[in-house]
Amino acid sequence: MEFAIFDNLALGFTTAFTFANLGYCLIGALLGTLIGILPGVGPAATIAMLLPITFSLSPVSALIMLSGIYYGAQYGGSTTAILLNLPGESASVVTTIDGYQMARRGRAGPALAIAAIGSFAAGCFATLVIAVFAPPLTQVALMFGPAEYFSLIVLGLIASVVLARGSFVKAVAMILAGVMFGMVGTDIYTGAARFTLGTVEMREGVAFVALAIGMFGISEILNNLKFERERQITIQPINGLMPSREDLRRSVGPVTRGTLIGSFLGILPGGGALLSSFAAYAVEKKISPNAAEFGKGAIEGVAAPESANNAGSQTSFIPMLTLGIPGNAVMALMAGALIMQGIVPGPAVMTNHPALFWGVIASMWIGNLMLLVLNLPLVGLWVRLLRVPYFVLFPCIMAFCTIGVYGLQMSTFDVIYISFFGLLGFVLISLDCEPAPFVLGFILGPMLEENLRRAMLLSRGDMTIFVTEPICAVLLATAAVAALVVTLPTINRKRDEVFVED
Amino acid sequence: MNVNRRDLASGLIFLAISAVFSLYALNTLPTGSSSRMGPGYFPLAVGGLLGVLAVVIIAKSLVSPRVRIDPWPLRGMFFILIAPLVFVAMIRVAGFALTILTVTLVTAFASRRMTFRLALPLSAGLTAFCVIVFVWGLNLGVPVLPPALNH
Repeated sequence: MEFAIFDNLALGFTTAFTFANLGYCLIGALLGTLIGILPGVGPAATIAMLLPITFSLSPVSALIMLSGIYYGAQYGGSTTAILLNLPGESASVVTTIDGYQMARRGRAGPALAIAAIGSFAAGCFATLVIAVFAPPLTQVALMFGPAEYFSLIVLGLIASVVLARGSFVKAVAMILAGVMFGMVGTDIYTGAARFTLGTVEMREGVAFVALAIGMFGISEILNNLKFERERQITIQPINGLMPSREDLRRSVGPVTRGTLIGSFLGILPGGGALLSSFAAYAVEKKISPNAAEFGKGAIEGVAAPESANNAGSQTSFIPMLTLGIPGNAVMALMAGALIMQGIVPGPAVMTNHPALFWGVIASMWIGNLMLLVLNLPLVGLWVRLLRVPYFVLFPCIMAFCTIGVYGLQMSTFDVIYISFFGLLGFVLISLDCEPAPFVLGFILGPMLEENLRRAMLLSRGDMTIFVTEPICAVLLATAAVAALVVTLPTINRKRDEVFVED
Repeated sequence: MNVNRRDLASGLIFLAISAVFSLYALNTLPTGSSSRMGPGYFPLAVGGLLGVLAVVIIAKSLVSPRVRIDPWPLRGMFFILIAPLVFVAMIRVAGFALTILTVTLVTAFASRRMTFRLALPLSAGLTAFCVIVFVWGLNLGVPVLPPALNH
């Protein structure tokens, strides 16, 4: 078994270490940082906007480039969190607490460096975790029939919103709305045209890239416009990057604990990076000998959540790659990219496309390494990007998004979706409805329906199999309990508290 | 009246989505039976569930503490959401360069701080960049100039 792991990783590294794939990983990491560092543009928006450029590549290269983009975007988010007190994504909210304080005391360099070093250490460990745990999980999933798979997807969807913040009922409604839009197009069983409004274009379904760009990218731009008048940028200067020996000594413990917490929580759907960074910060604050310094620029307060964040975002690949069930927005985008490449995410990926599977895992490690050796020295250049004003930023983004979506299929119809979903996404965000569950529902909806229909064909329409089959019963009962628990008023209040940063 | 307007409005949107899809499915798609589900079965089931949740959200919002909806940046919304539609209207007839120039000009005015003297050089530069990268570099099969000029 141990040997198999190393064989697999070796296959992964030979796949990822081709000149072309290393190049794509590098370009991805650079582009990801470039876009991700822009104020108010998070990883999901970054990936959505860069999706079109990956489709001309082979599936392996495309996914490797996307992982590069993801890590780059995350690193960009940490940079704005530390230098601007402006988290690019919810997962780096905790980093702002001590990171920005460090920057204000002239220690921005060490804060950025420890974020990168901690992330790299976490990345190394999380890569091993994936290599060890992914194969057995795939074996389990391969034994599942359609009824079990349906139950598993239900559980995955419910769990992904239980562990996220905000109203549970609204998040479930967002999932269902996403599922509805996922049904647009030709029914695979009967060939019937569903919800196509009589158009030919909609028979292929809603263009995923345009939907993602609208829901994540355009809506986020509009949301930023709300604050344009108040927006004032003061960037803390960076003097010297190297952390002192003392900094490193103090960071070893937090990085280790953060990595472990993140690796574990990342596997859970929905939790991923966000929950990991909050949990890691809370733990350090409890046990650190320097607890009094927290909130005033303690390096532990940067090291722990950044490591956890990176470990969590890496292990959140596990449910997507092995079960085909993305747990968060970024994974939904990755799954969508795979589907567009003609590969159905799920347990079969590892057996049918081993080079893809292990290549992506190896490229995660490579992507982390690139961030460390490349982004850190370049930080001065990235910082200049922070000064780009919105009125320069938006025309660039809009030009690339429209060209990107149009270029995929030369379809003007697809470009219209950008406006539609941009409006829908923004309106829903302004009503406290996060777009992530919508996109998860959109991606998983077709799988949900297909498995339900197959299960019902096999059981001759007997719905009770979901209760009488033990695996289904356990999975669905878990989902039901999770849903019940989270709607209880007392727990609900506690859950809100977890996500409130001091 | 104490109403959580954000919940109320989102509930109404969910109700609308549920109603549109469910009615559309009822009128155009056979439902079938649970052993042989037709193309309308799953949409109706999901639509029904969404409708129930929408009613719950609406009902709860009516007895919640008051929450307002933040004002929308209407100017920005108009210019940004219209830009893709401008692209759609122009790309086939006006060629790549003119289309991108117009799209970026329109988008630039989403910001309050934009003036023509800033926007024009910005859009021109961006258009040149896009022509070089996308049309010549990546071989996007789109004519740079209006196709009509060639005849």
